[in-house]
Amino acid sequence: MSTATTSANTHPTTHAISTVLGTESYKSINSSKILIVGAGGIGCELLKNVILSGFTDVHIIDLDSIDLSNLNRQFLFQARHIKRSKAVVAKETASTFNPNALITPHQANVKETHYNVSWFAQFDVVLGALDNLDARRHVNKMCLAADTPLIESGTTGYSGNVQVIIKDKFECYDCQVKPTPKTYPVCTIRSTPSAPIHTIVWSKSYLLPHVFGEAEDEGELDRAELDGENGDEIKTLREEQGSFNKIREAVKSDGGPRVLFDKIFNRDVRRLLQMEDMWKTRTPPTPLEFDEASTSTAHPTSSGASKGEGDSATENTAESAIADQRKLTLADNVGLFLDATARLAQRSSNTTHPIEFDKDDRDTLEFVAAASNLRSIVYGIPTKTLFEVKEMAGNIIPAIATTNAIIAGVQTMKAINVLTRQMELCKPSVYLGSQLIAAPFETPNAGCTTCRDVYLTLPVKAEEVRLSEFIDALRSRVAVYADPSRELAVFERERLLYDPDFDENLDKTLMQLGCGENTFITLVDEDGEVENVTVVLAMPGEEKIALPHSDSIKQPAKKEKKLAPVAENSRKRGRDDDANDDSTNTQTYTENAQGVVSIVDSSDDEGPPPAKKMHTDGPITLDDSDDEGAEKGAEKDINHAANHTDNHTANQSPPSNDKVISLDD
Amino acid sequence: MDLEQITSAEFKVTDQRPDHKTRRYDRQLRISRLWAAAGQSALENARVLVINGSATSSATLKNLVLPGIGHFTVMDDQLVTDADIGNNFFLEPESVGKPRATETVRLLLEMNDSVQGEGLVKNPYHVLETQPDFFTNFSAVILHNTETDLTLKLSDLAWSNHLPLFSMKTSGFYASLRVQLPEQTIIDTHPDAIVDLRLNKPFEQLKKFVQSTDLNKVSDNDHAHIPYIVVLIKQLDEWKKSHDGALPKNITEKREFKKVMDSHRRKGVDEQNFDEAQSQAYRAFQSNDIPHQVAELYQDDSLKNLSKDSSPFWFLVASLKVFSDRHGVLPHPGTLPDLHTDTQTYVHLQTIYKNKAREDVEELKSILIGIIDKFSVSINIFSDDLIGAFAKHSAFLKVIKGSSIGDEYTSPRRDVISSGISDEFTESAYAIYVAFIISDAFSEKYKRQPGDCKLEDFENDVMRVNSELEKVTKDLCGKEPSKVISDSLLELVRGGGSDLPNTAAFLGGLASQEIIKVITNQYIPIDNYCIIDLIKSTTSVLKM
Repeated sequence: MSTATTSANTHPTTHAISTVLGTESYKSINSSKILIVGAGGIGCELLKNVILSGFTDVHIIDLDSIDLSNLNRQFLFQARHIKRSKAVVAKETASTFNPNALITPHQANVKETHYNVSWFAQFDVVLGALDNLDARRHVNKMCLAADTPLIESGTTGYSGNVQVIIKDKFECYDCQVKPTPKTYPVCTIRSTPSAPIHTIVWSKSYLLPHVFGEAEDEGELDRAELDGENGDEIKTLREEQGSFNKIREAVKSDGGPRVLFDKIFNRDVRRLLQMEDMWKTRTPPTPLEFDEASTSTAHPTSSGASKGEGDSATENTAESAIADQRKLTLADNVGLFLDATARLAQRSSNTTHPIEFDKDDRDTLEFVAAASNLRSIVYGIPTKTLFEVKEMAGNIIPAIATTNAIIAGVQTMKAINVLTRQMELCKPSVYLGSQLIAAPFETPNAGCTTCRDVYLTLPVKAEEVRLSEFIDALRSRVAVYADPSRELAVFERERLLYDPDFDENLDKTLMQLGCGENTFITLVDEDGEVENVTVVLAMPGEEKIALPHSDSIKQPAKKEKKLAPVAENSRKRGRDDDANDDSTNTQTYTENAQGVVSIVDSSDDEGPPPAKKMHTDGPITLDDSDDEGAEKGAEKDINHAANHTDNHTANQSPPSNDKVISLDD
Repeated sequence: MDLEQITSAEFKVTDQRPDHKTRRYDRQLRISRLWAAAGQSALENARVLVINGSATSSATLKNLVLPGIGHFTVMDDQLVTDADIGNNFFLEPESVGKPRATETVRLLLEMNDSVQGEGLVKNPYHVLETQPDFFTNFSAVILHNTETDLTLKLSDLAWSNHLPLFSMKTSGFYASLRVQLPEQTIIDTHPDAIVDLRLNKPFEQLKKFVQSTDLNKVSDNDHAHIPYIVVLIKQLDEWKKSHDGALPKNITEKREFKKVMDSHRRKGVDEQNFDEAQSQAYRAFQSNDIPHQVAELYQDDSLKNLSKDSSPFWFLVASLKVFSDRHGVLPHPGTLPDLHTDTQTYVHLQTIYKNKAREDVEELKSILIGIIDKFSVSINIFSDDLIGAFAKHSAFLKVIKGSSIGDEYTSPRRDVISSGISDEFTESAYAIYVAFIISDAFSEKYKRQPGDCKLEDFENDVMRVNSELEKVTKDLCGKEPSKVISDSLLELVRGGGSDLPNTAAFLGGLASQEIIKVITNQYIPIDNYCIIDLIKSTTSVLKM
């Protein structure tokens, strides 16, 4: 690359690469310690590439076990490995390429608390090979806090991208607002669905947990009411909810599935129909009568075929041979619903564990598919096949070996570039089906809610240190906080712990406030003049607070512009007295970038403190016409990377000077 | 599954489980997603030949074996060396001293038991001499770092037998992929969306439907549920009446159009359909004429020289031309995007479009029957699925006219190359292209790759390539060598024709992607040269 050829290395694995790279560069690879997060399609490729390229100390983490559907691209695994840990088998297979390499597998969730900031800090570079937004954001944040370079990647079908993330140098994963999470208003899901995704979300995130899963959260309706949604409608939904408690037991008895059917597809619908006002501008739902429905062979309106028209010859492609892609009749759906419910009820009687949706769990998939189709029929919405439901509900994106190989190849190159300090080569890469493009560098977004914070890891005895002491300690070390007239607000993620108008917590210990090791506590300047400081609580030593010398603390920079007033409203969210604040309906049905649908209550969301939350706050409107959204999300992610500049929203403050203000000035 | 099963207590849903194959390929086999069942079937019936059992070849084959290619053959008469073990994941320490062909095949096959593979310990030159027909029994021929002489011989053979050939080269962090295709006619190019609302040229049934709705006489609720398509067609109709039949042309007119449309909103009613009409208004400004690339197909020589030996594709294009001459539009694809309205109206509108599409397919088929009749070609080779798919994708058809490596070698595109390299450029894919040509010239002379030598001989190799550099640059660009070429050349020599694991992985991914596109005849493959610069992590497609 930049240096000339050098002496030959006798190890055949590394000879060629050290010749091309030069000894010095090769050494920095050889002596590095790296982490691969995820042992899926990209993770397998990465592990192979780095081991063959001369990396010798590699950790790999993945919680999953091997499934048959992984084998079409995750080449480190074979049929005989099914059900074993991905991380462990990946290590076993890859170790044979270079017996001198040390591979450390972790079969675990990377979000577990013992994978803390100092754990991330031990690596020279982290390679992300994840498949969901939530974990990506977590790893992004941990790497920023640990100041470890992260090389992030993703693929979908024939497209993919790679991004190098280094704190204060390049933009981070959160610098650009991701096109999702897409949120659905509570009532759209609960009483007025209009697209297949609405009924799928309902079955998966509402019905299944209510009947077989974790007990429900009444708060959802309270908040919806406060948000000014139709009061009578809420009241009706509340009655509906009340009767679920009885159903949970009844469903386990003989004839239980039929009881559930009558409740949700008949009685609940009738109850809603009584709300005549609701149906003045909407098509009213049609309750299902069991006897009629269970014998109806009619194909309900499905996305492919129109009512009573029959399929045209061109649509009868070879796929129809695949059972899961068959359109189900009304009676099929009823049968499937009764059967899946009976199976889940059986499982539910045998265990105290709540049943959760898993796309690979046949019982839950069929339950969700049948229930959402029946609900769609009630509302005159097109139905979906089992395959389609699995795709929409289960975060399935098309994945193939070719794209993974391409993206992992680029990612390995970027790792080499980072380790050999060739930052000019670290531009974001975008692969769009046939071409690999180097996108322009993007500096951190001044309005970013994640990477603009100054991170500080602090060993603290949480059971002894009061909040007031904690704040005072930081004022003594962070230069711009030294002036007592600078007012601060303190958050634990979203939750407000302190501000000048809310001082009840000052005498409580951090422990009493639910803060301990690995908690992220953010200090926000009330005037919005300086960047936030996020303190990561670490395992304490001898001292109550092991404060470093202020010289060794990176000081928050001054911002050019005050934060927009939007922040003021949402920041009150955590307060006790906000019961009358109507801006806080925070529970919504959310989908991540790759279509995972889940209920998110943003009051305990892992999002950034709301004072900084300008462009991610507030419900994101759903385009009802776009029921493909769940599937397209990941692709948008890619386009998003390609059309960089379009995504900086207008209400973000302009870029700040990245100068550090220190006490000594 | 009949009704009795459904309702009986014995109903076993597990009977519905997709078979083993479906589950293995679950993620790539989704309708209208990657390549669907037709593509998978093409892949499973494909047989590919790979010359050289290198790391790059193995990486390429890995990505063909995993998704389930039918059969592959590796031809290589070398034995496995220590260096092979170092960079090729599909070899193991025990393989050293054994034939590379059989060893790589053995390990590749472990990944997928439904794939067949064969290792041939033979010298390709020898096979060329003794049984040239052997090479024509494949769906595609794949080469890696083969000598120029062999590349030319095999590509000539492939070209005259209408076989796709993929020639890969690697050296350090540089690589190239030359795709030599016979004529490739692609129906399913997988466009982002197939939407044809016919706003500007509504057909009879659509017109009737639009006319049956009176914006002024319906209730507020009905007004809020009029499909935006109806709103746009009405509005466009009015506009054309007052503008001599012309569409809104410039930004002022387009704004005016949208403003007038907004004036039809009902006050105090939340009308999502009008929001949609606003955001989709740009569709109303499109002409619905025959797309440029389809009009170009109508001029193609293959159409003029239509004979009984022509491929089904060209008979279909001939029929399409008659159809579009007759109607001024292409057949309707039959799709209707989601829109805000009530279910009944949606289904009604959907039926209108679907029926139109069906009629159009029928008409296309009867035109086709008329045409093939003249050539005594049987209709049996045109399944209804084929005609339907052709009609549906008619706006997105793609034809690639290949060019041979032999022609590229004897008459290079000097004008293109010379304008692609300038003294001001600090980087240029054309410079890497030229560097590969110089490296080939060196290899022809010295029977090895430049830089593939002892350290003390490296400077000597650099000198030797530099003398080639002058000659080749003068010939190709008609000027003195510029720095950008000599820089690229130095990097290439530093690579020494090596097959680095990471370059192999990347190129293996890229090449297999293109091979799959060609085998499934879906998506648009690279035409025809791809330069890979992994130092900068970029690729460039050149047409040579």
